[in-house]
Amino acid sequence: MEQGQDSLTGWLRAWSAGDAEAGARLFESVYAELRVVAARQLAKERPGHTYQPTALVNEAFLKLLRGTPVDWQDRVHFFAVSSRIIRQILVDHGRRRNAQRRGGGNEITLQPELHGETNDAVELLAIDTALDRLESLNERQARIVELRYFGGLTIEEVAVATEQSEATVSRQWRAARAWLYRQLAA
Amino acid sequence: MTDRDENSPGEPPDREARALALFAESLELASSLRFSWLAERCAGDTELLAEILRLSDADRSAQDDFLRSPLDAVPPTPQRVGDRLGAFEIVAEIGAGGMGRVFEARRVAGGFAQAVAVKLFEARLTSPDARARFEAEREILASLEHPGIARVIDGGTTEDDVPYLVMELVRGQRIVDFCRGHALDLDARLQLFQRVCAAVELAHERGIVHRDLKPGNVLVTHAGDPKLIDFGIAKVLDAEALDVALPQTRTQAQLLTPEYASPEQVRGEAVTAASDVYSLGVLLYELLVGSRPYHFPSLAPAEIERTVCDSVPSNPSDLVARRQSSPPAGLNDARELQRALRGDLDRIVMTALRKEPGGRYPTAAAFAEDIGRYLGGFPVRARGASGAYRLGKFVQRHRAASVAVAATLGILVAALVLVSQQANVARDQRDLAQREAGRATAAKDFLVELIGRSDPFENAESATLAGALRQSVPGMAERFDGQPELEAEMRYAIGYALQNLGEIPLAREQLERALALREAQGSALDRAEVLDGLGIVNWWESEFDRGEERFAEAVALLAGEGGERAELLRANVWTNLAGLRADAGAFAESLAASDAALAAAEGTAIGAETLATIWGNRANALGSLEGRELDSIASFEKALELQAEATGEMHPNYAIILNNLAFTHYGLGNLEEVNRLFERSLEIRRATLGPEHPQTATALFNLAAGQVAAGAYDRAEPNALEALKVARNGYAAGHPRIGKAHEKLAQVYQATARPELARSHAEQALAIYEAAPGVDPAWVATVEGILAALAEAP
Repeated sequence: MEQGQDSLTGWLRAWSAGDAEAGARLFESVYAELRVVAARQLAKERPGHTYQPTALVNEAFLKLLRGTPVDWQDRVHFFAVSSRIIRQILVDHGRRRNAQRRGGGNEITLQPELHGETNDAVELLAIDTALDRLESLNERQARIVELRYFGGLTIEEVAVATEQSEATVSRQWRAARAWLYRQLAA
Repeated sequence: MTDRDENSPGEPPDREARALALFAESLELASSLRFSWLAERCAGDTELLAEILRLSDADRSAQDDFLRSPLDAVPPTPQRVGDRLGAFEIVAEIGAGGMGRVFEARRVAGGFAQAVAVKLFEARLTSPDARARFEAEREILASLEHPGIARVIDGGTTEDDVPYLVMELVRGQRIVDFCRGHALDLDARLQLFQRVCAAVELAHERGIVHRDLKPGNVLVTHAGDPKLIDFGIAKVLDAEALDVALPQTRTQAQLLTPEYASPEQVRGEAVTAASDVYSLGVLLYELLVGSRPYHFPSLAPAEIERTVCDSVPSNPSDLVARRQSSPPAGLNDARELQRALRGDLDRIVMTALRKEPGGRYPTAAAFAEDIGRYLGGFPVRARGASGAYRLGKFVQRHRAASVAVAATLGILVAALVLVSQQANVARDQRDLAQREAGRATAAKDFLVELIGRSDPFENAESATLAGALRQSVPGMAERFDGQPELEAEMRYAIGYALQNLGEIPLAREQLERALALREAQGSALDRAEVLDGLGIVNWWESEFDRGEERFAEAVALLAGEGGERAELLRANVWTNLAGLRADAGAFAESLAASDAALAAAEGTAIGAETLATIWGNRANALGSLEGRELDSIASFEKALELQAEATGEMHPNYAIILNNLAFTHYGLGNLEEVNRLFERSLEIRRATLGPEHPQTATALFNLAAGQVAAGAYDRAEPNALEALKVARNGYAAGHPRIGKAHEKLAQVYQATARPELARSHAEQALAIYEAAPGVDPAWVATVEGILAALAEAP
């Protein structure tokens, strides 16, 4: 890490207070760290073993903020940033895996787990596509889905991260979930 | 989505966007109001409405785990046999459960042989923080030493971050299998179960809750000693508390064992010692009957929640009576077992199985003690699934109105008239019955005195009336010797009044004797009247099936009977049946009974006040039926109209109906209306019952609670203060209701940034809750939540 921990928490605070540039820099730094963590995970990945997003973020979080006390809001905001990145990483990974499988004949021996895994990757990509469309219809709802689904945030945490009431988040989440269900059930 | 393909235009984006936004907004409303609201918003745009309905459909169809987590894959499970963990080496896998796998291991360091069980969790501890908390939990468990509990010896995390615990290896049978295999009789089963309770109690005293009590975790050694395994294990890896990376594929409900999980566990609420008491109740049920109280049609979380939280299981004795299979080995045949279970054991088991944690035995020790009382032939403390305690519930106090209160006085008066007539007859036959006349006059004086002392709204608390009635019982046989009709009449009147005062066993005895007398020489009408009283006794005792039978018998006896007395009785029986069914949770059936009561009342001389009760019961049932809130409100309005006709608005009954109407509005989220109704109810009670009456305190408290819910703290404050004052005057020091008033005040002061006052009231509430037996742990949690929030604030 080039920048010190102080600046990272500083960015988190500034970003929480509405500083868009601090958010962008935060995104960059977290992105770099998450990439490193994910790359390592991918390297030691075994068939059928995909990484768990919450664990991934936890690890990056601890690395970035080693020893620095962070209050809950900052933490929530960090997860909010991370959820977008995780979406990106997972979708890239899913695409690659899917491509490999369609290509066939490579060294991966996935037969035992093939069934479940294929569905995972396909579903992930479908959700990603649908989410793009949802964003054009209702950006707020798309953001909530991203935070909940990719970031693993609870309703309460999403409410803090997006500065809405829990009741509102909960309703928007339910509507978005219904919409996505229709899209994916097609 | 079958009506759309790549080439069709589908919904225009703006319509789809609007549908999404409107659907989200509509979720704020109760489901019953949603459709009309949406229809109005769509203003004739049927395409838009159709799109919203498709969303609503999808919302219902989506499984609970849809979009729960992007990744379902569970890490591959590595081989563990042969691995070394600290001083132990894994020998063989011996089991797998919801949270991980169990291995047998042996000590390979430390110089002595020891076989142990190693539990490897299905989780990874990814942060130092999580590890520290795991260690802390493990140390707490390691401190638990009791011959009835398998000890935690060691623990840690493997090289690949998997947490594990090393525990005493217990070789034994599941308690259910042990009882069956050794053909233990009823008493032996109860004694064994008491020993299980003792072990649980010790852990509870240390603040450790088992959280997953079930036969698989209660083993019995070959020596016959019970031994609990996996104590507190469920919490060691409480995902939320520890922030570990658990596989995301399992829902909370699937992690625990639904057959033994308490309603609060199924709902994901705070788990306390009372949750263990509940699970012990399920275990005892199974030990005594051979099957569990609940069976799940499916393991869908919503289905489990509905079954555990909303349905009332059969009394053990009823289940034994009903089912085809024979009881487990060692227990008597079905008929005898049913007889043995009926009454005390039913009540003991059903008390442990109450839905509300506060209604169960406060501790495992209290549970075991009550079993001890049963075994020793002493009266038990348990009151069953329901009973008079319902009357004492602070907020819901008047939800199930019966005609009982008003009818008690009527019956005592009727008895008085009869006694007077007897006295007159006797007086006319001077030479014959001077003695009887004296007795009848004494009975008359006695009744006059009773009635003079009674206050229809005070007698639930009035010890005098109950005491006088109790004292009247022993001399009755002698007093009415040779006058069976009068004796039956008096026993009925006294029994009915006792029932009304919560003196259930005595009331039952009197009513049963009255029934026997009237079966020998009484009309169908006389018998129906007593059966109605006995049905009410069953109702209070939550013997819903039996009560239903009694009322049905009364209805059958009344069929074809004419005359005012029969008509009134018929309407009353249906009304009581409606109340019973509502308490049994059968709201649709309750509604049907209310409608039958209305039909029976049609064209009779039945009074407006009884009609108001019928409409009120009907309204309560409707208020509990999904989507019938508006009908409920209409019924309440009818009840109010009738009550006003009978007594005017300034009457306590009118206030009760207003109070109950407020609950329906509360369910609809109409807080403004709720508070308006509570205010009016309070006003009436102040004027008719006085400012210090317990019902006035209830109204003050409800109003304050409604105002807190609506955020109107400034208005809530004086009401909560006054509720506290009235509660202090009306209840013994330390009564939980006084604590409840402190709690409301703490919420008011917390919300209005007066932390000192808030803390003081919260502390007083907590002190009262902690000292009072059987307080709902949720109350304690609320107050502790306030204190924690105050401690965190700068």
